[in-house]
Amino acid sequence: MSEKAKKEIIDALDSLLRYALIMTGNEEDAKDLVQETCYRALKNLNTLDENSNVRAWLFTIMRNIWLNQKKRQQISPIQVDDAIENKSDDWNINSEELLINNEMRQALLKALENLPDVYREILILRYFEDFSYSEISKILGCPLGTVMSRLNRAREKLKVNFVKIYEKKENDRS
Amino acid sequence: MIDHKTIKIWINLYLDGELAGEELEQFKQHINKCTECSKLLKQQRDFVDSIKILKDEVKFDFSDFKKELVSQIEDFKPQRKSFSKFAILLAIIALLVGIGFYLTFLYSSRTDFTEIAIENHIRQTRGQLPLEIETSSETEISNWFSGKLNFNFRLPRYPDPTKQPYKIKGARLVALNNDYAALVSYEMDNRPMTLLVAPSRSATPHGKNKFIFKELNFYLDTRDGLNILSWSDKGLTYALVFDFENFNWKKPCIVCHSSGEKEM
Repeated sequence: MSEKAKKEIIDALDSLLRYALIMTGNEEDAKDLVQETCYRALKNLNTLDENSNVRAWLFTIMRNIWLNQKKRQQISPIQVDDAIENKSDDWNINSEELLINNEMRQALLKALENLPDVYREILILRYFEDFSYSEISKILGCPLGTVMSRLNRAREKLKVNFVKIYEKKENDRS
Repeated sequence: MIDHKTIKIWINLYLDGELAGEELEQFKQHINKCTECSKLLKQQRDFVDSIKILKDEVKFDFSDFKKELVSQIEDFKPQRKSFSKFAILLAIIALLVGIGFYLTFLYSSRTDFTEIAIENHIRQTRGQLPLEIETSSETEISNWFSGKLNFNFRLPRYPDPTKQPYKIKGARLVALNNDYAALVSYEMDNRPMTLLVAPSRSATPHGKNKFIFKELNFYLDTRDGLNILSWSDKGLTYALVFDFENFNWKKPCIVCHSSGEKEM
């Protein structure tokens, strides 16, 4: 089991690094976070069994480490913002347009990076790492209903942020 | 009939692959009929796809770091806590068994040595163990043993031979713990007396009564009508067996310790 789990850890390194980079915002912190995650995972390989979801387990470990670091820095990681302004279902940019328009992509990325941690992480887990709601629920340690509602708020907040950033760029240009 | 509000919630569940069963069927039917919801679905799909595209925008080059980390992961040997505990338990058991064996060996050595000394004495007096060298000279006996034993043994010379209370008859080798021990035969007060000498590593003095003389522990015991005086000194263990009537245990000490008469 340990060799199989080690292979799964190695296979998950890119995902862990991406997640860590987005969450911490800098490369050195991301490396430290991934290093510590792998170390703790390897130390606890004996707690896994054949049916364990190693990838989700790694993200859980990483998130716990990250939250503890946040606590030490006395920064609250949970900043759920329920008051989302300008709730809108409108999204008039299709993905093809986004692929072509680099400026638009960068604005959306910036909007994502500017999101509170709690929204940023759930979007990454769902849309970058393709975890199911159930897996996200386990990683975040919250009920399935919370995953759904938080994802909804995260998506809305991202839209709002993007519009603000993109419009500002447009205004700056004109 | 499903309302639009429910469908709007289901759109995200559908796009995230979380809608199933009857709800999924109802959703599909509604989307096929409702233009407004169909438009919403398209908008939301575009949005979700846009987020997914961002994954490739997060660019990083951690190749060196990753290479090092992969190497560390591959080299990592998981610690088996339960095995460690088991190993410690085994080590403790092995230690206890070892101590048990050592104590058994120690006890058996004591028993064997005094038993063997008595047995040799009896067999020697019966003529079943003839002397290999017959001489009254301590020097000749010491020379005869030289090279035959795995330990250095020399008989001490009595300070004043004219007052020597015993007579040396001779000596021979006897078996002890897969090796040889030295057996010296004496006569004292017309009674036979034998001295068995072996290395202390394979023989331990033993007896019911303990006496201390010149910082040495002497053990005295009586068995089968024979007296056994045993002691260790300078890496050798001695057992003197005799059957003197009206036994005076001080007398044998004169053999090696001429001043014994005064101090013992």
